[in-house]
Amino acid sequence: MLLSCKEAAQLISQSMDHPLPTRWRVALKFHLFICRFCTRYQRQLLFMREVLRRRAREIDDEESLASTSLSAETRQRLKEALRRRK
Amino acid sequence: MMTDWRDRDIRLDVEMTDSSPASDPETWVDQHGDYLYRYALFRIRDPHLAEDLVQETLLAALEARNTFAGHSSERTWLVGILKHKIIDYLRQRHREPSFDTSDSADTSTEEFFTRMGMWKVKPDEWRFDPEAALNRKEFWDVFARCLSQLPARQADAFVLREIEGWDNKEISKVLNVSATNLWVMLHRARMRLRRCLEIHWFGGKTKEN
Repeated sequence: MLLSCKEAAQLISQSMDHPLPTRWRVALKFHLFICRFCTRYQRQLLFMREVLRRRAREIDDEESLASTSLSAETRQRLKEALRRRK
Repeated sequence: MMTDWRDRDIRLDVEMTDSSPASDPETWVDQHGDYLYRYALFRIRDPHLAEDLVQETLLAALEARNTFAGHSSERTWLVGILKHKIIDYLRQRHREPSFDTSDSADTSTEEFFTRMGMWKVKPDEWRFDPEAALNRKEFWDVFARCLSQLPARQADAFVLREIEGWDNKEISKVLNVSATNLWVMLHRARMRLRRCLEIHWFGGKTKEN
């Protein structure tokens, strides 16, 4: 069965969430074999997943995250909230 | 390693133990505050909301302080509480079922394809070294902006699936959507995010070709 790119893109997304039924998997494989744009599409979606998961793991010691921190004000507010409840 | 949010025992109801009490709560703010904030912000995207969730987490931890059993580090314990706060928040935010039926599987991405089902703008080769992007603050700023342009449910679905690695069934429950709706949302979110990154980070073509 021949897929359009639009159909292939749907299957690519679905295949990232659960295994595709055999006939769809075969159809997608064939489409990817002949279509470099959908191949790129798939590779880029997988790349997005990969960097996000890695980012989530590294959230602690990332240099670039150093600028993402609580303001002095918020810090103070949190401490006061804790003190009041103690 | 991915940690699983849901089933992890956060030990709120473990028997009282005074052998290893958590440290003075006020020190939590300096020791773990930034971490908790980043953790929440990465998933929720709204700075004020992230601050609120951190505060709720710290106060809940204070309540449950005597139950901290010292089986895990203090930070792991706090993150466990924060995870639950985030899920509660998402449930609350999406309590109203989605009545948006405009996004059928077929029309959901039609802006990206011709009537013949060909790409309107073909996915470009990403010119920057994708690996290098990972360590650039600018990349994550772009990413956050792209994500925030999606409808909230779509963005939350994407985060739970791609970052947390939940399966679709669990996501459907928390976001209060049908399985069909969810896959359409994920499909659309991936399509739009990829395109947004291509335009704003990878310097892709902006014109139809």
